[in-house]
Amino acid sequence: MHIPENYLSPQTCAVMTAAMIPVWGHAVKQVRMEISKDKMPLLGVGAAFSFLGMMFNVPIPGGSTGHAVGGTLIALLLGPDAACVAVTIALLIQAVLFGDGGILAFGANCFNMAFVLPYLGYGIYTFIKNRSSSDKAGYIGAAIGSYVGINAAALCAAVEFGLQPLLFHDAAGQALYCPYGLNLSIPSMMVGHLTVFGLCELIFTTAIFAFIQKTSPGMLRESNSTSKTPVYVLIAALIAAVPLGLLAEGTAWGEWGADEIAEVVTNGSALGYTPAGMTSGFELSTIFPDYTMAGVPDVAAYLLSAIIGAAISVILFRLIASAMKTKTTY
Amino acid sequence: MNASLPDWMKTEEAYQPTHDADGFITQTSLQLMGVLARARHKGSADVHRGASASFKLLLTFYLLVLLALAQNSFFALVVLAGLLIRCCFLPGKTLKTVMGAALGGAFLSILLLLPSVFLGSPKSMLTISFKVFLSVGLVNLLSVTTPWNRLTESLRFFHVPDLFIFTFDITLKYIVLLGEVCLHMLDALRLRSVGTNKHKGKAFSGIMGTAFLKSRAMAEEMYGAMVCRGFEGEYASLQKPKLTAFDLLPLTVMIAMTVLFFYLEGKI
Repeated sequence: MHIPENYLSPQTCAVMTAAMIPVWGHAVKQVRMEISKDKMPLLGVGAAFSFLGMMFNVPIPGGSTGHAVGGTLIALLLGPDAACVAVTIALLIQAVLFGDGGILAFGANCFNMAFVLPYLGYGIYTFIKNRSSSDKAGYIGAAIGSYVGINAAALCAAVEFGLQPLLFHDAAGQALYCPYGLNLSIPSMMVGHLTVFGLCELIFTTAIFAFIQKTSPGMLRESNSTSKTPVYVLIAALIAAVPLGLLAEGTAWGEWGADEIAEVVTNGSALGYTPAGMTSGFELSTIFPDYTMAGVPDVAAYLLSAIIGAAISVILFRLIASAMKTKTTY
Repeated sequence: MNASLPDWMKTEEAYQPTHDADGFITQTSLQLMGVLARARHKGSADVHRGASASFKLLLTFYLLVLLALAQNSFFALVVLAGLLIRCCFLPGKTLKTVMGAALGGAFLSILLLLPSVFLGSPKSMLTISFKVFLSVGLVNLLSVTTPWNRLTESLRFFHVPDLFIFTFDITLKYIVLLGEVCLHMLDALRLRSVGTNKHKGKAFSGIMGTAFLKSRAMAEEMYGAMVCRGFEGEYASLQKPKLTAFDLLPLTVMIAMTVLFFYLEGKI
């Protein structure tokens, strides 16, 4: 679901980033009010979860791949505003260090995965949980919330993709950016998300939510304790399992490189050209392009990317916490 | 007896001392206090946990050498991963010290190497700055996780001459003692200054001079005290270094990094 560089026009990117600015402002303000200094490092743990969740690529028939995001999970643990900040940081690390998701498209990616996904997922979770007092209602809410959340995010991404050929094309009618219209982008994105990827997000969210509620309630924002050991063990286990994500060999829909898009077959025919905006567009060179390194086995590079990405997320929020002033109430 | 107040005491006074730019004293005091706080913290750190200082020192120097020799950037990235994992478990304040120093070092090296970008080799700027980041990070990690007195003691393990260890140890201790003397004098100067002090240079040299005289007196006193306690010129450590289970970790890391280094450099 990471929109790569040059799939959206710079104008679209500017609009999406502008839409995100008030959201980020609101989220940061709320997090500073709601989350205490002791709990701030938990945002880093949340960002690490999201970062790792996105590394488990799952294949679907047809050669495409997708992944969980974990935005609803962080929203359940720390609140939707904290989830917005944490997923934003995870996406930033992915874009800057690993070239996963474009720098210009960062605002659009954040809109889908750091705004629509956690807020909607959390809204559905609280709606269902408030209707019943049983423990199960919480888990059902988490499951439905996460499923609807990721599908809504995928739909937003599909609409952003699908609008490009309508708005931006050359005199010959060839698209400048993403070449697929709404009639193709929506079904292509939604087939995977309504089935396999939505289910992945559902399992990822409910399984980890149940695990943390039982073993490490210190993670939850209402709790006063800060015991986090089982959470760190879980992160280590996720990192160790990350190479499983390499088993899915295809490229996710809408994430092809400029070198492969011309050969992508849709409805029985290949596209046949590379959109002009992709050949001459802006591209940032990163240290780990697509989590790989020249001359190093893919598994080692993927594992190292997981460790570095997760550790940077944790360290970043620990540094923010140490810079925060301790609140004193008299 | 006619007891009345003298005239000069009856008049009302509204004395407003002229504003003095005394930022110099404030800054110096703050700087000194920061160093002292860190040095005192170092002395009192829990010394019985984790691997022995000798092995940590050995591992740090070994990694620095390998890092400098490594041609393959994957090796540097593995060191980065290790450094970041260790940093995840540091308390916020120490984490800030390590990251601040490492990023500061990297930033400085980027500034120094900026001309190389215009001369056509931007890659060398990135490689060197990245290695500077890692090296400064590793050294700072060692410094914040190991009490200074343990570090000097660990030098014995490497057969560093006694005289050197002795001087080093005393230097660290006396930085604290003399720092306190300077701080007290700065406080005294501040409290006694009213209005504008036009002779700041004189005041500053006075403090430094007094600190020097004090240090001489302290050195003599300490030498006397040591002789009284039977000092004969040999600086012996009372504890013999023992190998513990914690020491296996730095040893394992060293072996693993050696294998990785030679594998990546194509020597195996």
